[in-house]
Amino acid sequence: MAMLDSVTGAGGRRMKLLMLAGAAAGMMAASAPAQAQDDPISIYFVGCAAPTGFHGYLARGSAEAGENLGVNVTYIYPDQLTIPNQVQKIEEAIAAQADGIAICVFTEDAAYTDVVARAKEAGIAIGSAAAPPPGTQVRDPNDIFLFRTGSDEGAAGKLTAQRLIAMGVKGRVVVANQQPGDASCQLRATAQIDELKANGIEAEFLELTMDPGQQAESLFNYLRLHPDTAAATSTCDVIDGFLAAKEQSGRDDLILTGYDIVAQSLAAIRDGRQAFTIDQQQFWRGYMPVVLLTHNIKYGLQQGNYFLTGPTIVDKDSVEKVAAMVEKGYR
Amino acid sequence: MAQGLDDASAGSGPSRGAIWGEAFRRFMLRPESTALAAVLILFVVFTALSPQLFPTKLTYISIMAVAAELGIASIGVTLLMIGGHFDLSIGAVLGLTSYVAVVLMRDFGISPIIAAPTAVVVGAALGFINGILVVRFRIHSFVVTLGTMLIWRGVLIALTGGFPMTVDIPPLFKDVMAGPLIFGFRMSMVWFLGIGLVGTFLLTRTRFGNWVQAAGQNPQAARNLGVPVDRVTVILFMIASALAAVTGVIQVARFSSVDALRGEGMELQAVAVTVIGGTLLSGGYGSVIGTVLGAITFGMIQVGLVLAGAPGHFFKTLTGAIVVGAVILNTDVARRLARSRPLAGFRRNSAAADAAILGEAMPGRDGVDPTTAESGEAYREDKQ
Amino acid sequence: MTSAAESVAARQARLPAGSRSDESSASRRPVEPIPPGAVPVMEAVGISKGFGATTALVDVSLKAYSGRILALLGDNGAGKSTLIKILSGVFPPDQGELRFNGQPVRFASPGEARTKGIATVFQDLAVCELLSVTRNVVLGREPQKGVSPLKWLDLRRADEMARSALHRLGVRWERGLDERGINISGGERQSLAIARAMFFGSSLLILDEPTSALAVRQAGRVLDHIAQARDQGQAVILITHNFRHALSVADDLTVLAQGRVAAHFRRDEVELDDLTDLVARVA
Repeated sequence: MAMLDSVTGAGGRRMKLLMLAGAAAGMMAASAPAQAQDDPISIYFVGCAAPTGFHGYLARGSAEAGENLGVNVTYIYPDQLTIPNQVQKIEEAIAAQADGIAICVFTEDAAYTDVVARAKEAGIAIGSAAAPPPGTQVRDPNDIFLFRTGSDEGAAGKLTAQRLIAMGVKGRVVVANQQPGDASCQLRATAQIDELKANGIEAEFLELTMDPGQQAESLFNYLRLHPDTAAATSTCDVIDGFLAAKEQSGRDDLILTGYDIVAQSLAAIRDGRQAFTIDQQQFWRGYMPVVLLTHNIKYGLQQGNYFLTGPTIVDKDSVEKVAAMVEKGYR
Repeated sequence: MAQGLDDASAGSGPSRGAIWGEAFRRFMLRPESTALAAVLILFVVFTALSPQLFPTKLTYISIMAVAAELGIASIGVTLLMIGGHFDLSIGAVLGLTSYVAVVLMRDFGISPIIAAPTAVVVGAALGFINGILVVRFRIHSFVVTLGTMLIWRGVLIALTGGFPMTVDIPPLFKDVMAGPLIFGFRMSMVWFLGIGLVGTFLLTRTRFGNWVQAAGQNPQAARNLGVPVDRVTVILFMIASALAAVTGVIQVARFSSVDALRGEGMELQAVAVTVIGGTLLSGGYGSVIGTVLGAITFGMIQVGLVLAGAPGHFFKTLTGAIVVGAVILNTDVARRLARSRPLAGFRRNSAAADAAILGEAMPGRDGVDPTTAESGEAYREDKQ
Repeated sequence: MTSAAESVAARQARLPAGSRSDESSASRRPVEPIPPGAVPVMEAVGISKGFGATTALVDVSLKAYSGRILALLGDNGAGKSTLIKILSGVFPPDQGELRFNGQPVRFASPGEARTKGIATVFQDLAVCELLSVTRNVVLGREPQKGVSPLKWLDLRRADEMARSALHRLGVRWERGLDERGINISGGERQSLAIARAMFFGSSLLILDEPTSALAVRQAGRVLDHIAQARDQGQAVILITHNFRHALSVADDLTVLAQGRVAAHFRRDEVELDDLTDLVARVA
């Protein structure tokens, strides 16, 4: 105000008007919508854990999408994964005035309804980087999330079964869960068993523990009891115990299948001890949400079908290429 | 002379039946009796369920393989529990020390002969931390080891990035640690029984073992008499974690790998096995032999259920039922010990009973008069 | 003191007849005066101790001599447990000093007191219930065989030591040494603890309420054993709130009340009623 005071008289009044006009123009420019052409879109990816290991893929996927699309992607995560902690991270993203938020959903929708509603009120696009409920394909119009992207565990079990059938498996199949309390593993197992049975193949569930030695002995004895076993699937742990049981029992013809891409599986698929593994292609769980958010923000586009990133099969034919990608951190 | 004995058999010593009865009574009071009973009962049951497959050598080999890997770590947990403490972190220690062994071999090219003992030393160091936290800050071991369990597991997950690691294991090392060298039985069984023997000797025949039991029963009284209770406690934690590391090394040798969840849940299996073996959760009383038998019981349950074709989710339930049964039987032990009196013929003088049982069991021992041998007459006042 | 002496004179003619079963058979033996120039095994000189706002002990002095039993009497809250802790080395006094065999001493820990030959037996802490008698007796000082570092228990010698310890105290032990602690009576436990302490060379026994939880007959036996310990040259400080028991074995008695020494007698200077009156008055 001191500045204005120093300007008096008729020339001073014009100066005052000009300055006021300038101030008004400036304020109008400042209140222009954030989505102006030269302001990059800001996406926040609220993860489940630190971006290493499995979650490193999600982080890398979202980062690469950001580069490709020219949007800012920030990966944040709670130190300890609990509902309140993750919700707090989402609120931080809202406070940072994100344009879009992708959430690594790990629990029931009900935990997120509140915070999602608040995000929508603030005009933020918000979607889930996790799979839709099993068996659903078409997006529910009342879904609180704009989209969902993930691997369907039920489909994964079914795919395993279908591949086994295609391989001409004749005897029985044993499907093992090393963590009986884990819902996704249980879903994989049940779906596989159901599909096999529906196709006239004998399939049985086996409960195991997380100890590789105990897994090896249990499977070994299962093979003694059922020498007609043609294939064994590990749904919830690395394949080590199964490989040991196969060797111990001398059953070179036993077909082993499992989940996820890890060093042991790649080596075993290469040399034929393991037939294939199911990959959920989690890189896409990081990449696709950024694409879906960006295009929704820019063009108002919205998915009709949920995007299933997986399952897909990695077998002897594709293992080399996959191994190369694993080195680079994409698979 | 035979003043401690009933008149009915005066002069001829106690009856044969009484001697065997007394031997049996004493056996039933021992902590191992529950586990041995469990092994025998389960053997009968599973043989009935799968007569073709269960009572076979392959089965026994399999049972001992499971028992050995779990049992080695459980022996450490047993000694610690007798000393009055819990350790929930041994599963995480197993995982973390396995990681150390793998990294030393894979990334530093160190031979397994050095990497394996190093991993065990790291295990002992982790146990030392547990022990110091418990004795220095007087926090309950349950709480301390719950915390360290989370820390070690978190460190392992962070270091592995959540992904497993493989390593090339020289075949000789693999064979020595876990190879099927003893008529088909795995070398891990040898390690297991050897450690069981050392543990039993330590507990029952050394000064340290006496201190462990005293520390578990009445630590204040023990301190009052000069027993270094805190030092004993720290050593017990070190033993428990070191033995967990031994199991870890055996599994690395057998599976040539380590993953972020290696050992997960083992601490509870170890407690179950310890309890089946007759060790009291309240401490002060227990048996390493009992734990060996308990581990064998555990192996029998796992293998037996598979061979019996039991429906999918039985294993945890049955193991749990057996553990509860064993605890109920063993919790009674103090009352049984107090109520139980030597059989007629031995009421006053159990030293004479010792001699009599020995005489009966080893009939070649001539010239031993059961009524006077070691009867403690030297200290009876009316003889002075 | 004078009123007590008056009571003694007044009751001279009224000695209680017969001996009660909870008294030591030595209760009527005459008490010798302390030889002049005798050095007490343990002497407390002007001990004071406070905890924050509360004072537990004020200017307490006492002397324990070899071959004599000093009974320390007083109600709960009189400061007995604080005094025991100071005497056994748990913590030092705020003021005053301890003299062991005439030499001023300041214990850094209970362990130091123990190695000097001061054995403290607490009521509940005598015995480990699931260990055998033998293992209980040798606990902390187990005999070993073999060569370091490979040493193991010499169980035969341990048995001999246990037998010997019990015998020396005159403890009549008819059962096996493998009886577990849980199977031996409270009185036997106390006697075991005393026998153990003596066997391993204590010079001063501090016994905290050894007979308080015991049935009448057992208490009598334990008192006999305590007397036996005294006869073998131990200095004994016997803390108790049971006047009758104190009178039946003690040579000297000190009464504590509210942290101070209220009175000190030789046993033949006082009767049970005097004590009761005195304590009722000062507590």
